[in-house]
Amino acid sequence: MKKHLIKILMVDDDDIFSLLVKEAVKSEENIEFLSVSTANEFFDKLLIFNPDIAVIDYNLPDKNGLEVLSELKKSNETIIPIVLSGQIEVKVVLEAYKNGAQRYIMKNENVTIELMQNIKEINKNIRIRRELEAIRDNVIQQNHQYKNIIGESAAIKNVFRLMQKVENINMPILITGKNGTGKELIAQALHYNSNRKRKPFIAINIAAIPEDLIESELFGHEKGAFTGANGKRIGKFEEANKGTLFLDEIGEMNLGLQTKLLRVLQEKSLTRLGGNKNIELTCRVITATNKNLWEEVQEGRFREDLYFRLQGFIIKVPTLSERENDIILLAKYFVEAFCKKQQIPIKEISAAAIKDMMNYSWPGNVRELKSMMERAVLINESLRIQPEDLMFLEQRVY
Amino acid sequence: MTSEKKKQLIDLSYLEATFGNNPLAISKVLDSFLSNTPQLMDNLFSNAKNSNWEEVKMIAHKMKSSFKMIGALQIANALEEIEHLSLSKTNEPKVFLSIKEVHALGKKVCSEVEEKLND
Repeated sequence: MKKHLIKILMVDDDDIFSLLVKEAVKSEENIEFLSVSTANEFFDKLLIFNPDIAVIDYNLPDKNGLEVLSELKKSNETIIPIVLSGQIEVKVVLEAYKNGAQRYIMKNENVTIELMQNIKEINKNIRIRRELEAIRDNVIQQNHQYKNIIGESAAIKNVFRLMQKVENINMPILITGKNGTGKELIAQALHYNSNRKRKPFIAINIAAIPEDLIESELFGHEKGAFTGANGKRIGKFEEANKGTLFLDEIGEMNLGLQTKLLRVLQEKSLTRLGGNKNIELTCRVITATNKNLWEEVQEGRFREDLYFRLQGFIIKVPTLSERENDIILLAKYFVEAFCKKQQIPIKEISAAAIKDMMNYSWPGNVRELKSMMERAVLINESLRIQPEDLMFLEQRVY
Repeated sequence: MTSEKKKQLIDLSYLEATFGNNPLAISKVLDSFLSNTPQLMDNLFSNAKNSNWEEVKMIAHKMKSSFKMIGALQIANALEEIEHLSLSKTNEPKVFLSIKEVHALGKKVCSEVEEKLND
């Protein structure tokens, strides 16, 4: 497997020092090194060379190193800057970090050792970042053009049409549908086919988090906000920075938290528990529910104003029986995927089993279908799944 | 022999520690030092004569780390002093004297470096 190259662009007018660093860097594998003497040359080379790390001397003939640092940060946030200097004044060091330096290294007798140690550490972090990016690219590819949602029926194609309309629209989306219909898959597909696809997709199931913890989970907390809050913690809203926050089972949210959520959506900012600083809301919010939210409003369990705020755009996901043309397609998909995972020959589904499946109501929808097919693959001892391998709801022994 | 050892202005132990068993790398650094330093020394001197103290400060700053790298600490420290003294006009005479001293010593350092390269 080809190792990734790490590129270092250094700007220092001390030719001897640059040579020293160049020779020191040679001992490391997979590093491409280029040095220039002036800030102008640095910015000329920046686009062409496209470095991962920039090593910037504080004293340059045409510009101050901190100015170079500041301009670099504005043009490219991904390049990691290291500042080198003979200056030991604290305010210079602080200024460097304030302007975005990741490291500040004194030009003393240990400079090359320290520089190499820092480069090795940054190198490791870059490799991890690239691995994560590759994983994310894989997820994006799997979700591209809704490939992760299996279906050919008119009902599901209608859902795709609705999704295409709102892929890149920054408005709250409410996904409704019974349990097991794939609401989270829809939310993922919306995210990974949007211009937010390279940003985080954060999913949280409101019903799964204890009530006393949910507020902190969503909005974060400051140190000392409550007993046990030993440090600052960012919440899911901040974690989903410029990406998507998916709130599943929104109908389970208590009224108090609904009020806070409404305020956040209206003002597009939030404060952490125990804090007073306003933090801008940059994520898109997608919510989902299996409840009839309007009924919840009428029963007084859900706020009317929040209801109207959340349903900027509603996508109703059909039940499996509403998309019966997809039942066999999905069944075959799940059988094939499970057989491959278990590394066994792919099984077929008999005509009799298909008939039974088409006559079933699928109260658990796609989730139930998946579970049933996986069980059938394990139970069946031939290469063809038979009706007796299927376990419908009425047959289950409690 | 002892007095000759004492006259040595350079000490390559830092470079040797940095580059381990790589005499070629050390030679490259010394070569670069010899290519750049005489000109910088002359520039330092001429700028001091013309009272261009900003230039003097910049050149002194630039040169000092190179001299540190080859262990010529006497000159490196003198350059650091020049760098700081150049900030104030009242120090002109003192700075000029320091520069003359550095200029003279610098030539000796370059000879020693040349000897090392020819070894």
